[in-house]
Amino acid sequence: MWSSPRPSGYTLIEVMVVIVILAVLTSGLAMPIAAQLQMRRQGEARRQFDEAKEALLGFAAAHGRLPCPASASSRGEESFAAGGDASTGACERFYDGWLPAATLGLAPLDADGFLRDPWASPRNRVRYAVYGGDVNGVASALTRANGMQSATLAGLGAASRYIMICSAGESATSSTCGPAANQLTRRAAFVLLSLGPDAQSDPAPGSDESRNIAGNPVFVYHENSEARGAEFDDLVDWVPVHIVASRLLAAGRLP
Amino acid sequence: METPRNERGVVLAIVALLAALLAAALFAVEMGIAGGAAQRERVSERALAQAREALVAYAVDRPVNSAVGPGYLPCPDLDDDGWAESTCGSQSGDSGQAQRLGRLPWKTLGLPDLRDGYGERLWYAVSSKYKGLLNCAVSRACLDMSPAAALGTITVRDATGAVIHDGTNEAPERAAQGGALAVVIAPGPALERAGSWQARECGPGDCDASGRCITDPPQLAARCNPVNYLDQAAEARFAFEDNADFLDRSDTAGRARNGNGFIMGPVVLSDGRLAVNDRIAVISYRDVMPRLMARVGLEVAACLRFYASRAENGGRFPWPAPACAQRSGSWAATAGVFFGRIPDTPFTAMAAQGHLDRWWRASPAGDLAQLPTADDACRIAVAPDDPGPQRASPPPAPADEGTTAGLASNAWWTPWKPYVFYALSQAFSAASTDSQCSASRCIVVSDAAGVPAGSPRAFAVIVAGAPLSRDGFVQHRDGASISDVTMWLEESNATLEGAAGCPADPPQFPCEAAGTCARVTSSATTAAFNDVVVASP
Repeated sequence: MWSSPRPSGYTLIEVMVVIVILAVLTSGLAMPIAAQLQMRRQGEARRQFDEAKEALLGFAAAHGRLPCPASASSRGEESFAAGGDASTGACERFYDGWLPAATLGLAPLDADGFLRDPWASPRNRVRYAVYGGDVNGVASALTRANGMQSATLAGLGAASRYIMICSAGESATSSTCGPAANQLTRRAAFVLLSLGPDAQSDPAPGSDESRNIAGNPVFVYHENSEARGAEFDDLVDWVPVHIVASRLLAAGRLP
Repeated sequence: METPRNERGVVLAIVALLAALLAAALFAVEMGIAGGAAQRERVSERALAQAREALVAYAVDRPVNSAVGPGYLPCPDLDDDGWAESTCGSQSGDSGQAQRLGRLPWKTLGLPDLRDGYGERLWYAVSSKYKGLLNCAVSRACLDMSPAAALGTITVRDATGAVIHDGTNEAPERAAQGGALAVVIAPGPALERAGSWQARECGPGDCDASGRCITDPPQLAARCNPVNYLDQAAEARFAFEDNADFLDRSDTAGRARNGNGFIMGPVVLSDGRLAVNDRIAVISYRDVMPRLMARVGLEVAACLRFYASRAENGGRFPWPAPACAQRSGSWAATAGVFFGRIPDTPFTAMAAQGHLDRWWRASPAGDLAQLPTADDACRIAVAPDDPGPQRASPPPAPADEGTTAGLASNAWWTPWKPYVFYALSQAFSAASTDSQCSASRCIVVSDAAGVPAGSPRAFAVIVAGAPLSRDGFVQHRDGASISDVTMWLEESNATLEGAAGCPADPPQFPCEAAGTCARVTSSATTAAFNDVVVASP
């Protein structure tokens, strides 16, 4: 009888108390950890973008042009339109392709040769768009070999538009941001885009996220939003045309 | 005796578990804070670096026309709408000084909305000489962005209070140690300043819906007032430097007052209080000027190539204007000369071989389609006013349109003209019948040690930098010194002038005796060498 059950009862209660304390503590910790994880991924994505931007600018300095975006089947290599090549600069898709990570020699790549953002799902491949329009009468001047040289510095400076980045999408069309106040820049030579944590779900039709994958030279970037039907968590980064020109100048490819 | 022992064991386990949990929680929080601070600093550094590259690029690769050359930086953004203001002080720099400190005009630069690690937009100050283009239509002085004229006027101190960029310096031979051309500032979190905390919110009626400050002047709104972002090191050893108060003078008026500038954080006062947490990225003379000189060299090289590409010139380049002739005011191309400056009227001595006129291209009388327009490729000549692909009206006569300097003109090229030299190879001169590079018939570009780099070149453009103090003398350039190449160029480049174009006075340079007249030195900028070479393949 002197090994009474009472002590083991106490320990049960104590274990419950411990579990409660544990639950309280971990719930207190869990929030910051989730937020921190998200922040870390955002930071990681920005670093990835910085690396990709440098690789793209290095490619431009070495080749006198920007690479075409990769297509879904190009295994991370840049993809020209049928009959196109570096001498014409005609890309298969200028505005809804992916970063040609294999062409740029970036790592680590997924099995299909794409770079994935830190959210890592197959739909989280880093996207890339490059301006494909005429500059000073030179077709696809940014992706054509020495196209920027043909367009001349003055022509590059005088061109009225490149890729547009809008701060709000509601009045944007497939070619403009609508009112001037909505426009962040009209001189982006190329754009990097990550679909963010919600890449798995299709964006609502007409939403700002849907505009970013619509395949036109107009992109939207603003603060994250969780408003129903207008969720926005895309990461967008871009490089203005004059930085590309400055790298070409430094490499002796301009004027 | 058994029971308590059992209980104690369990309690010990619980206590151990709790302690471990507590330690883990503390560790996680600690890591988060430390990681967060380092992460914030990294974000600030990255934003500053991006802003810096964009500003240097803006100055160096901005599109030029015949009137306005490269080198200018935008005015700051005063009302926080992202766009540079159109003015920031008078031409002499004596007025409007408060307009030279504002936010980085990220939209003007085409950048994303850069923020520092604390979510604040970057601030930006520009020096008098480099500020935008204001009242410059009539003044040659303000178009003069040549190496000895375009000095920075912003004094910058490091966190110990030591001056690292001296804005009061007006000696061009010390340009690299002189004032900063511009600074970009990450303001960091709010601090207590002069007894009150920096408040950064929009007051009622201060801002419109998009956050733009609508007060006049915009600095009246807390959100656009630098005192709410930039900090003050109120102690004598920091010269009481206040980053929110910026007083900047031009080159000519009151240089001595340029001691006022910026101090880099973190500055800790003697009572241990953190007084300045502003992070500053400096755009220095050394960041911009070598690239600006290369840009000018590239513009000139493009003109020379444009000239050679004309059918009647068959890939051959114009004769230079020998430097020895400029003391008497002559800028004419001289046949048989292989080194000198860029001629005003190329090829005049070789008219029989296809004379090109002052526009650097053939212009049959009356054929407007053949005449250049303001959009034309060569921008060192004074361009016609007509824009577009084709000229609508015949050029006025007589006019200085088309000459490289345009004696009465205010073109950007005029002040640069004495700085730009040109070495022509025998193989690609107008007298050549065989455009094959063989030894000594083409220009050899060598490094400072005389080791050739790359293949032989058709020509090389050499841009002289600010005067240097070397070999026991300071290069001086006024008066007859315009013809003394040693006052402009360094190393073997200073000996390139041969005797062909000029009489025995000035005396022959040593390159002919040494056989080095085709050797151009290209090297990184040092205290004793600041030529920039652009060689044509």
